[in-house]
Amino acid sequence: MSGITLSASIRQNLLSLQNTTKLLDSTANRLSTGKRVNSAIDSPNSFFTARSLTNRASDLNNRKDSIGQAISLLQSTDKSLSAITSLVEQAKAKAQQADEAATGGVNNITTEKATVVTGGTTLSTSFSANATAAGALFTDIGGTAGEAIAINLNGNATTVNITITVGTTIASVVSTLTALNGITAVYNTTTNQIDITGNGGTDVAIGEGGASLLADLGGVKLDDIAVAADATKTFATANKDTDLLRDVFGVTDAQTIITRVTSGGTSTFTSEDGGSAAPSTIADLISAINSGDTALTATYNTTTSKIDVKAAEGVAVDFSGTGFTALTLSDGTNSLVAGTDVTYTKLGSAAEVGALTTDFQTLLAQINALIGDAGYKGTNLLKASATLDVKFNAKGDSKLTITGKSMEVDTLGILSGLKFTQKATDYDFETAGDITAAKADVDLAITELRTVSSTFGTSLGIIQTREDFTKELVNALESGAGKLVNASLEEESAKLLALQTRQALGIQSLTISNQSQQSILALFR
Amino acid sequence: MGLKLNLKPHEKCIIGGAAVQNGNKMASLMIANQTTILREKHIMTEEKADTLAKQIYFVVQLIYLDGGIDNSKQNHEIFFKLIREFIDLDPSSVVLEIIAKIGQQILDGEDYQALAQCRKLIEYEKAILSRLDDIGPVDVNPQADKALPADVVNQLEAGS
Repeated sequence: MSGITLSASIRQNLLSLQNTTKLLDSTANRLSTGKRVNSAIDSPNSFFTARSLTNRASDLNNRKDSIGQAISLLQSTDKSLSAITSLVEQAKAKAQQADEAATGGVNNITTEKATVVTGGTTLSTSFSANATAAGALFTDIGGTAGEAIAINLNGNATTVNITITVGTTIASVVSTLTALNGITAVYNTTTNQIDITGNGGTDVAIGEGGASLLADLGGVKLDDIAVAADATKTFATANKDTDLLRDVFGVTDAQTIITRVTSGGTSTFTSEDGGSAAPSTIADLISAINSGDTALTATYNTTTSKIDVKAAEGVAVDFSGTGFTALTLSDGTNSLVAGTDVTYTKLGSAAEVGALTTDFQTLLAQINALIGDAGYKGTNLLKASATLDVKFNAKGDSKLTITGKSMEVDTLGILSGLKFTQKATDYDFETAGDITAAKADVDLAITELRTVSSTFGTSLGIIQTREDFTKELVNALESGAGKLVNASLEEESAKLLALQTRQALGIQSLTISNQSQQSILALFR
Repeated sequence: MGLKLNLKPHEKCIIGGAAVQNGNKMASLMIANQTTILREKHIMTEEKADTLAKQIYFVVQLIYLDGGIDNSKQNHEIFFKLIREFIDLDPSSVVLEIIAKIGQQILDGEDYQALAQCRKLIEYEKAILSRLDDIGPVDVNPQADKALPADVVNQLEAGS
């Protein structure tokens, strides 16, 4: 039937009729199987290709599933890190509060400890056998009127001279000696000796004045002998009532410590080393401070060998002093240097600070617990340096290794992975030093958490990009496989027409936002 | 694992992100480490990418020059837009096979091989477009009163 010329409209109708018939047939088939190509018989080429494409798609799906596991792990880890960061920020707030409330409570006066001198010697004089009673005259026992016994205590420049007169009795010598603070003199009738003992902390040097009176007595020549302080007192067992500031803290003579409560009382303490008055004990200093104002409480801490001075809430205290060198007043941050004044204005109550310490310690414990719980399906990237290999292909040579972080407490109980420097229970906001340490540590922890989050975030981004790419590829292939065309001529024509139409419509611009590569490629115009 | 690169006089290429042009003598280079290398004949500029398959080549080229799939996220959307379009126009087994290979090679980090597959797609497209010469230019206005080509008329009569 060649040679027939059809009109345009009839041609169109015929074409669409043709297509419709074909469509009806294939639709019926498709509906029953859901697949365009039912069996190899329909279209061998398409069937086998569809098969291999489905296999390819399922291989890609498998890769996608294992990537998905890694993504879930990283997302779960990220959530844990956020929760931990929030706890660290709460801990930071506690430390800051403690700082503002401040530990005005305890200002420790730290001191340098004096060297404990050994010794403890009793000097004894010996007299001639004639002296049998304390009432015996010194001159009877060989002393010469006008002679002097020079006594020098504690290396003082002052020397006390006892001048023997005609009527001087042994007893009076003894009592003069005893009246000198720091020594005990006793007339020992058994041995006929005057026993002179330095009291704890007193060095006694008995020198020869004029004629060596005592030396002449009984033939024992007394040279300059230093009687050292009692060596049995150590700092741990220092008794505030009897032990001297000099022994325990190295305070020498005439040093003043002045405590001043703003709008309150003042106490002035002047140290004595036994030269002209009884040597100062720790208790003396403490009571002097306590006497200044009722807002102040000074106590001797035998554990730390420090004098703790507590101020009541809202009280401003300042310490000053003149001329002392061995004594340093400090609260861990500020020190009083000889000759200068330092004002301490820290305020606070011990109860508030104690509560903040407890909160801080609790938060640290909670942080450790969260780290322990950060795992997902048996892998915890925040504990004991776990690593995860995410394979991107079947061979395994295309992969990403994610290294975990060890954040939980170490063998010393310290969250060292988060840059904390003490274990939770060691932080005590009663101590200014611990507040400073806590504030520094939480800042380091926050920085560390940010760094770790960022590293995991980068890995997550890479993996998610791959997952998205794989998903899109699978979708495109599956939709293509669903449309696999039979090699029929009408559809072939339609395909060719479609391609040509697209060409005729012109190529759309790609709007690629990749400046650097575009500029390189542009060089090749 | 070095790559030997022989450049003709004045030949251009991209080596490791540098746009390089040879002098007026033959040059023999040895690239010792793994880096992006693209010879002049394989470089496609944006202006030259005037068909769909060439545009696909262009985008895969960008992915390659960016350093692979992990570094080229901004180009993935365009890549998939283009391949979907191609699949929609021609969901044939040949096309699907090539596109599947391109995608998988990009995933495996074999971008250079993916470019070779893109060249196959360009060839395929070229073959189809050249067959259109037989049919003649299409008139986008379907109401135009023109005679159908003879073989199409024969099909109509035979297939009804």
